[in-house]
Amino acid sequence: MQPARRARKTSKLSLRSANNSNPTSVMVFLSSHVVCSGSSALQFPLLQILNESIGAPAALKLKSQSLTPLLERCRDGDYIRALLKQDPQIDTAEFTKRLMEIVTPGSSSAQVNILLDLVSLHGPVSAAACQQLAVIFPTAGQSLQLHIAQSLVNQLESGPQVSAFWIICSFDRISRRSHQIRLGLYLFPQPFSSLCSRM
Amino acid sequence: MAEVEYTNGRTTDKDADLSSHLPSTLPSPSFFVYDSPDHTTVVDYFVRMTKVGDTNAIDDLLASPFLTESSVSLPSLLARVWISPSHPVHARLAALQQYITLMQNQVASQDFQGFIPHLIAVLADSNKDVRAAGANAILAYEASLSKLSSKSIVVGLDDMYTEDVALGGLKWLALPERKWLVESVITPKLEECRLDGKYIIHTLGQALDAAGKKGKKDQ
Repeated sequence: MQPARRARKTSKLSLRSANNSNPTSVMVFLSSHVVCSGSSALQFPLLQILNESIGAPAALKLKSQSLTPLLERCRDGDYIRALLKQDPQIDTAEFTKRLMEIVTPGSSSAQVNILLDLVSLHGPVSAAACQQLAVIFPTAGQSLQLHIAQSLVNQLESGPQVSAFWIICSFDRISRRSHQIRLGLYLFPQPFSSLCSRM
Repeated sequence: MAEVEYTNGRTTDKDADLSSHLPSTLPSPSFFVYDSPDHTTVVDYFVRMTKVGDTNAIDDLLASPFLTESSVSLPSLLARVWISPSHPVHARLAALQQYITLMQNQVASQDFQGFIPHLIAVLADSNKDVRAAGANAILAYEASLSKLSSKSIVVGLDDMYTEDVALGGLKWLALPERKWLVESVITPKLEECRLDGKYIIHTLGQALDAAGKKGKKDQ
């Protein structure tokens, strides 16, 4: 689209958003800067604000939806590696954690699937994606839990050793915490030590 | 520990050499392009000149044609410097002070709402001097709101970020939404934000928790 035409379209959109509630417009506005900026120095604090400050289910859902294009962009290993190298003062482990926290308990199965994809890609965010799956798992519905479990078991069977390590480390913790968690029963029917011996 | 400068506000031969590498044009107007050597050269030069305290060199740089050709170039240069924790504090403070000056001289036809997220980000910074300068910049932006009308041109509307179209496009705020965010949400809590870098999380959290509710009217 030509810049001038896009400018007119954007202006119309912003005028239309004036009819919505202010919090919704501001959330979408801030999220769009996180998604589009390609600046880790901007994304790092804004993701903290958006991830840590919001608790209401509708707001969490809107946040996840608005930030999903960035999560999808994380599939591109070159993009994420360039982002992580941009600012040496930004902690890479904390940054990848904040990126994966875009998906929260209550997020859609499509968003959970992106996390599963990111685990399977064995890229710079795979460990953080696995850890976030462990956070989401206890509150997911039964069918989604089974889907996550099946995908991760496939990873354990066919993925590289490092992937198995992330999965075991992330999920062993929650399976020990609660015997009712299905993934724990599914992944750890045998003692943890015997799984480790495979690595 | 305070940084000590022995250059007495004068540029050295090394600095003069740096200025000879400044570009005559930029490959893209915004400075949110991190793989461009030209943009990085300008950022490094700004940071260096703030370190030696050469205000003439900074003034000359900020008046350069490659920074004034597009309205997004200068504020995006300043924002790129102030949001980065890797840049020295003196450079970040200088960038925020220049932005305040820009806001004070702002013409009514220009709307700088695209830099609100960068000002919010700096309120979450770990350095209290940077947060305090960020708070002052918020106040300068708030004062500029009264000059704006619905016909004001949004700076960076088409050229803020290179990837915005592919990633769904930037979203913008109408004037009442901006006023609500700045005047009703952030400014009343600026003193707390100056003291505590985590306070902006609490402040925005309270405000944004109502987001996504269908049929919810303005707070």
